[in-house]
Amino acid sequence: MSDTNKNCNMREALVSYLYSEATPDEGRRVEAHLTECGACTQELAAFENVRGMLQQWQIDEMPVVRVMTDPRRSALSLLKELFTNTPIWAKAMGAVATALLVLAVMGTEVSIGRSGFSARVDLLHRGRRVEPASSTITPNIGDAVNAASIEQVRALVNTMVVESERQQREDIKAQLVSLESQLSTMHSADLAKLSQRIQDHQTRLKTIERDIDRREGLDLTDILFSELTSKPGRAGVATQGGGD
Amino acid sequence: MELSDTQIIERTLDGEPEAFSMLVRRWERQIYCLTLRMLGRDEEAKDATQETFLSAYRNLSKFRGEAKFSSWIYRIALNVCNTKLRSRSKSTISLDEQRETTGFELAADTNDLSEGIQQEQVAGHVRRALNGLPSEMRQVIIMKEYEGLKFSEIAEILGIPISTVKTRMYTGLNELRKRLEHLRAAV
Repeated sequence: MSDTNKNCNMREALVSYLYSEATPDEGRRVEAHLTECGACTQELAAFENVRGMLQQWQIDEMPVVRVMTDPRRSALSLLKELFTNTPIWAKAMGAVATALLVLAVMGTEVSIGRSGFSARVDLLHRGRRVEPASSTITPNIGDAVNAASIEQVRALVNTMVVESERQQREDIKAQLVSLESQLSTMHSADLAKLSQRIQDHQTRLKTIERDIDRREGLDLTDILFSELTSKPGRAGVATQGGGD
Repeated sequence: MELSDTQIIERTLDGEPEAFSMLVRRWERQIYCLTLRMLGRDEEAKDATQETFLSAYRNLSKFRGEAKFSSWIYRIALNVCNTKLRSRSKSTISLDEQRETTGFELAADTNDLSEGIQQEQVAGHVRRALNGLPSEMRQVIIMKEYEGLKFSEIAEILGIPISTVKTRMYTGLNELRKRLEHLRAAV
């Protein structure tokens, strides 16, 4: 078909017309040509037929296509993940450190005396029990007191930490000793039980052996007795000491 | 309000990679259908679809807003398909292979065919005929007939003049007509 209309030079126009993309002028030109050219008319009809067949192939089901990208994490999401994965003890230490820092920078008064340790936090700096050494108070004494308080707190915290560690060591030691004692006791008890069981088994074995011996003895006796009584005259021959 | 492709791309490049999944969901069906019709094999089409979106994601910063995103991703998909086609031997899909992938069965007697089976038969012919076309004609026909793109859009995607697109379309339709007539006569 294409051989008869290759001189028509209407290929592009036909295709545009076929897909309704022809300009108005182009459309008029094609329609005018079709009225005169049977080959192009047949070709256009054939193309319509092909288009109809092409549309028979429809893809209904869409498979699951997983497209995994490599997400770049934001700093916030990284921080969230860090916080989630941090163990509890680390979080607690962080909280304690933060609290101590806050106490240290705020008005904190600490005293250690015979009655023990006491600390007072005065956030608004009201009723502060500052006892200057003399009446000639200069503005620097307030700072000196703060610095001294901070140093006292630090020293106190250090002492508490050392004491806590010592106490923990002693507690652990005591627990270990207790555990060892318990294990030893359990071990001895287990050994005693095992020993008793072995003895019991040995006793049973002896009993079984005796039974076996007794039965074997009885069986032999039965066998012999049955032989002696089953054959007539045999007993007389036997008693006479003769044999077959 | 639904975001445009450009807005989604901007969000992705600004540090919201999860925004790209919106683009994937928007275009995955078209890209899958395009690759399936180009390659004729379901598994290859799935691979090609994944490769297309991965390539798009990796090269997103190179996307210029002058062209439409659809044109850009179609181009990537066609390149992926052409690479796959070059790597395998150029042969038409056998009927057995077609049965495996589509469950398509030829009816023994065309007179007693139900409509659904007849459509399947035609679809099978179409699939075979399309796979027998040269790649450059096949992609034009697929984009025009199945993706509904305009000739100007196809030209932009392929980077060729509109007249070349129309010529390939004409030649491709002619080839298809001959092949489909031959296939129908063979039944």
